Amino acid sequence: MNAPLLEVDDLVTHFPIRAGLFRKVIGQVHAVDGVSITVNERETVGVVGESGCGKTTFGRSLLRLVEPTSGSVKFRGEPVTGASNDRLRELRAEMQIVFQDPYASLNPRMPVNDIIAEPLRIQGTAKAPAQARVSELLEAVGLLPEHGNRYPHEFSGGQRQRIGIARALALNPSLIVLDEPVSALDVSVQAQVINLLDDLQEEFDLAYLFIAHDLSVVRHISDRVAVMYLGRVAEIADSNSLYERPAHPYTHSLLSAVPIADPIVERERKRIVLQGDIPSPASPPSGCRFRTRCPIAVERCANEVPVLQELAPGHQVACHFPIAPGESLVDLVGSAS
Amino acid sequence: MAQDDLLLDVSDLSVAFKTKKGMAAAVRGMSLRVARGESVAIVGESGSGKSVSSLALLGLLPKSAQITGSAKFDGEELVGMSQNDLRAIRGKRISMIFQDPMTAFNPVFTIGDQIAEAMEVHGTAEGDKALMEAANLLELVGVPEPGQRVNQYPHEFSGGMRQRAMIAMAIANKPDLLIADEPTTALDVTIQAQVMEVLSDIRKESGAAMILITHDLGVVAGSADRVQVMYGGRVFERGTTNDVFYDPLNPYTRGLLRSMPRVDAIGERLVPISGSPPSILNMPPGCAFGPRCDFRTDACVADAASLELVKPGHESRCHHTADLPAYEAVETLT
Amino acid sequence: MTDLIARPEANDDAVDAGDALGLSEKPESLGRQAWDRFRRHRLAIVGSVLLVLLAISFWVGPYFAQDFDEIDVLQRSQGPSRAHLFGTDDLGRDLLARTLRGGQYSLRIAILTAVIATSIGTLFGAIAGYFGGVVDSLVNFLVNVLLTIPLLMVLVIFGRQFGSRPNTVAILIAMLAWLRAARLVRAQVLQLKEMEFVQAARAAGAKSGRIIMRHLIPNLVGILLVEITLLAGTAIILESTLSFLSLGVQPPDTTLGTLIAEAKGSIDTRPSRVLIPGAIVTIIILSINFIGDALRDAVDPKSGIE
Repeated sequence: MNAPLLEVDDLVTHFPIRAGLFRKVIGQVHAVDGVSITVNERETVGVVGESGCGKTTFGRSLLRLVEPTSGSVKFRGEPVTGASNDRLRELRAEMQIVFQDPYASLNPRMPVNDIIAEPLRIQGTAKAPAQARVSELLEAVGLLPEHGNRYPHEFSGGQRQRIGIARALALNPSLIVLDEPVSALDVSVQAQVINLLDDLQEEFDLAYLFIAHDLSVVRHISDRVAVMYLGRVAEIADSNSLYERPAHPYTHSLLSAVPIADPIVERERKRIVLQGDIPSPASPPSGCRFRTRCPIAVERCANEVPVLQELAPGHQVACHFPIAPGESLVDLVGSAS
Repeated sequence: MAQDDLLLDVSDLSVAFKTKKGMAAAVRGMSLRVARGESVAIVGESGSGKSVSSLALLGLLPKSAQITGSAKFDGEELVGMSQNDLRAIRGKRISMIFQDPMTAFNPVFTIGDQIAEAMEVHGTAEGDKALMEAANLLELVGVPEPGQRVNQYPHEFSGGMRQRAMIAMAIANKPDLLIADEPTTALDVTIQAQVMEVLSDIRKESGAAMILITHDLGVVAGSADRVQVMYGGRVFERGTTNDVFYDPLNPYTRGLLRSMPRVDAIGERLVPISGSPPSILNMPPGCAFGPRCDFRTDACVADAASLELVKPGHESRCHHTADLPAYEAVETLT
Repeated sequence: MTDLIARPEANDDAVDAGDALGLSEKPESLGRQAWDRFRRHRLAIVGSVLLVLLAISFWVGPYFAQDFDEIDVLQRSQGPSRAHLFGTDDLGRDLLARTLRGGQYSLRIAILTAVIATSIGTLFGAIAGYFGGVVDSLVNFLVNVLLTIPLLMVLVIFGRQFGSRPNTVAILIAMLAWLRAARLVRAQVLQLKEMEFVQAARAAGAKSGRIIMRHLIPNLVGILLVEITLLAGTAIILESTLSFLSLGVQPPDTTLGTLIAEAKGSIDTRPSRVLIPGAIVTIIILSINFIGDALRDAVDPKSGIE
């Protein structure tokens, strides 16, 4: 296999908490705390987690929209972290991003043509060829070129998200970070956008880093999936292994909490209902970050940080007591509802 | 359902708003029957009228809303009732749980005070007794250390805890009907599971009926006895949860079920519905779903079908009910 | 696209949703839509007409009226007459001519103050909001310190030193009135720069200059227009107050405020000497405020949807 397209090693992004006139640092929000991930060419890697798990910051740190605190990001072997501003500008042509909110992600005062052409213009394309490319892109995302001179507010949420995708495609990137690209859309529109992403991946040989909280969507679209909890990767595996043979208690609980649109399945399921809330990333628990909510945590979990260990080829889990395939957390705990 | 069990009987309810661009019909001739102790889900996307209809029942819409039709709660007509009489019902016999637990509480009073006040307003309990009752309620909805929590302010509660506190407040006066409007949409999956569990336990205990308003078919599958699917301000399909999920009659319901990826299924290509839900300012003529429907004919553009009983307890609004192919669900692993 | 099935579906979407939104054949320009929204505010239209009429008479009128500075000792303190429509003042100067001259100066001070103060405020606010950190702290500190100084007192002190020409008065008021604009702009920029479209521009490699010019400033237009109108109103009132305390524009030149101040002795005998300039000040301020309200609505592209 070739070298991976994107190689993230021990990435850390902390936000200082400041106070007072002299902006003294009084604490750190541990948004991303040592995440390592690779993305291969034409691959989709899903990143799932709940709010505060750092998945959004992680995505933005990769593109250095948020400056990482430490660790390295390499794109085709070349360091992104530490690249000069000019080099970073060139690298960004290869790595683009699509945002969650189709309303906030388009400048309300620019016509759609200008919005999609902006990356091209920034990177030095002349006006006429840029416009030709915009028409191509509008068609590629299922809109009509003649819609290009309208302003964003005239479009529906789904159409706006298509515009955002067209903008990300403008520079012919190899990797797109998709940050919750469908969660703001109506259910009936989500599938359109997911299918569109599938098609574009085929057509343009794209790799995706798909960040979402919706486990069903992530399973559908991803080749491999990483589960994040409070800034760290809890488990990472190819999509099927992760959903069929989850090893981390957190993955188990997440999967058991997702509602399934099937009344019989839903009523007969045994469900692990996690107790308590997600701790604040400003003061994460010692040792294993999940231990405060983990039904099988013991003393060791508070003292010792679990490192990612390989259970099977490509299946890594950060837990002192990974759950064996076929075993269920429900049975281990004995509580069900 | 037996007539004397009928708690809420809404018929031909319409809600229209006056806007700068003319009248916007948000709800168009909706009907809904809820029996005592029953859980009915109203499912719909943005602009379907699912939230507006329940706000209309409780007189919680702005004055610019024009409400017509009938809504009988335990025999009493709610449409046109004075605000004073409505207040006596609201929070006492019908309680509402909102989507956003952040804004539902007043930040300058303690959670306990606000739950106690809900009881004092309706004369259920007074003073210290009300505060003690508030602590009991918090315990009931699974708030840890209720004795201390009762004296804390809303900002000291996390999102999930606040949603529990809102449920506690909603059940403080032992209502006959709970209306939960997207109660878990703002919450994380694991917290959502907690809250849905609390809601179901509470209902088991108190026997309250529930109207669950949501866009999430997964949540519906787990907690509703009956489902009513809304689109463009109208009821498109209605039946028991099993009927609607396993034998959907309406093209819109079918499209919705097929377009959703499932966590227990391998990723085959999704079957989306084309287009977007219509804006209430610009409803297509005839069937609101017409422009997005694979089975559309001239009849669908000419006029909207009426909601008809197709099988016992299972209704659908479509001109083509008779000639639709049998429903094939998306294949799953299990 | 490799998957042929997706194509017609995707295109359908665009067409259908376009229909659903009721789009016309040709999209309307932002300017056209803004004008349509502005027109809905009747009072703003009335205000604009009044303001234009007043401005025309202030600037064109003096060519037809008498010299505002011509003293006619034989015609002192006369009531309205055919020769002097508004009457004359204590020195026998024609009050119509003086009102026109005063209106011209008041309006000039108002506009100048508003533009200068808003520009300074935008500059400081945008720098503080965009660059953040220490710069932000410093600007904030400066603004907070300046806000504690009573505006009127400073104007009184400095007015005595410099304030005799309308431009100087305008600059003086602006120097102290930019604080609110700075705060507003800072808050807006802080919010805007976290917006995803700004992040998207950064992800495409945009430099700060481009982000400020293409993404921030166009989205500040709304609040800036409102701020300019509010400041213009404030400036007229402040100038009138200064003139009333005989600290504004110095005689023989005049402003509406000075006219009112000069007439204070004759308020019992000839109330029209106070009422006329007073009414003009009120009309100007009300008109400006109505226009400001309508502008805020007009320049917000989203407000057309509801």
